[in-house]
Amino acid sequence: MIVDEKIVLLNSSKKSAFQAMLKRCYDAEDFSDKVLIQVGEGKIRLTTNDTIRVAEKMQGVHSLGLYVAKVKGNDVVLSIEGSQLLCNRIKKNRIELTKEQSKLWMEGAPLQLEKFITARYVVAFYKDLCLGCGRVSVDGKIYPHVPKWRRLQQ
Amino acid sequence: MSTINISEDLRNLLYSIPDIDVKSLLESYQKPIRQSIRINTLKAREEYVLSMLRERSIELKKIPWARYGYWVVNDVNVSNTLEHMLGLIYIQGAVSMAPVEVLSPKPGELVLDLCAAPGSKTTQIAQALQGEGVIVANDVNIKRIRALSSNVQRCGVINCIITQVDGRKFPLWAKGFFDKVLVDAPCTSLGIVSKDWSAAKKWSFRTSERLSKLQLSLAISGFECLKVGGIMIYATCTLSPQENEWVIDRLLANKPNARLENIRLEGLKINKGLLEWQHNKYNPELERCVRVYPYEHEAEGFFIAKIVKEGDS
Repeated sequence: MIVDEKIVLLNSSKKSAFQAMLKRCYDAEDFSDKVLIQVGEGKIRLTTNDTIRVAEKMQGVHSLGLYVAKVKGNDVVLSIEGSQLLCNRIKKNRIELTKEQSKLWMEGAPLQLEKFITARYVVAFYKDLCLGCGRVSVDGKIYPHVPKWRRLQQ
Repeated sequence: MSTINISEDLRNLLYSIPDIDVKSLLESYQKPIRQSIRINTLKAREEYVLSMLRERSIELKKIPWARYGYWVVNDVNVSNTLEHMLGLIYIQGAVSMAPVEVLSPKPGELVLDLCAAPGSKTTQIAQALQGEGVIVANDVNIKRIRALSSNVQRCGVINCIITQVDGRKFPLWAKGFFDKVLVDAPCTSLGIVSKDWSAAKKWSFRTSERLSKLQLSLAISGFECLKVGGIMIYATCTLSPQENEWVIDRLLANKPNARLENIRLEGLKINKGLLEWQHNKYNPELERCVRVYPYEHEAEGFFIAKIVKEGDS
């Protein structure tokens, strides 16, 4: 069976466009030599060539690879894993959190910005750890994109 | 303290298995399983994660048979930590790490996890593969697939394919395809009763016998998906010989090119597989299987068999 028809390998022009968006949003280089695929609306997953080859032989494929990003208009919203894979290659629109702020972030609580940021999304860091993206709101707060099932309980 | 209720069938079963210390087993059912974790080296270096956990005053003790496994010594809830939510650690039973340690996947191999949800062993296999090779993680139930999917994501696995099919059908498209196969079969869960007392209350010979037929079909299916020279682990978290030794005995009878191998894991107290139960005699090779009882490590009870596929006869 062919892998789920909604899964599309990013061709070179789409990959270049995605790389350009990553560069513009985070001044980050691409996800190394791995394969990028698009699933559903703008969702990007990362996998390997071998995984794609094996998936083509399998039946009932539900998903493959790792969800790394979602393209929203002109922005790229990185998943926690997407940000972790890029990590130190993210040079722009990154914010460093304190221990207390990192806890709030993982609880999904909005954080008040200390300085003005023009970007719509930022990546949060705590020590060497990447905590994914947050949306910068007009009220000067950052709303973390932490899925409910991964939030710390207060 | 309330007392556990066990069914009459279960009482009869336990007293029919010669090497079980029934008193210790029933006591262990009333105590919580010791908390244990696996450091996920797909996300961070082991030493780095250990230092983070130490900063939180989480005391750990190495589990001798699991390369990245640790007991949590003090009374802390590790599930509500940054390390857990970010996928730096995975909360997994200490003995539940044993089947994958025995399977010993290597980078570059093709591995099938036939009954994969919720994904503790899938992510452990992925960790061993280090991003090289491919793991196919299958489960038949969509609700359980969602949990599997979340755990595979949280652990940062890039080389996993999640499939949702009846595991018995896999040989139709994957016969002789995999280097390693794990069949962690659905079972009556007598090794984890302390997590769910209803397993002991409801246990019946009838359910166990019904499940054993499914388990045998899954074991045969998994075996057929192996390449010649490949290794399959059949594991359950139950103690019933009907779901363990009987299944492997029938597999050996069905597949002349299946051979059992000895299992050795450092520090894990093991009991040999039974050669006879309720007047049924099993293949003498069954001695190579292992039984681990919950009271031996304040952990889960498990049955593990390591099967090698020899050249087709």
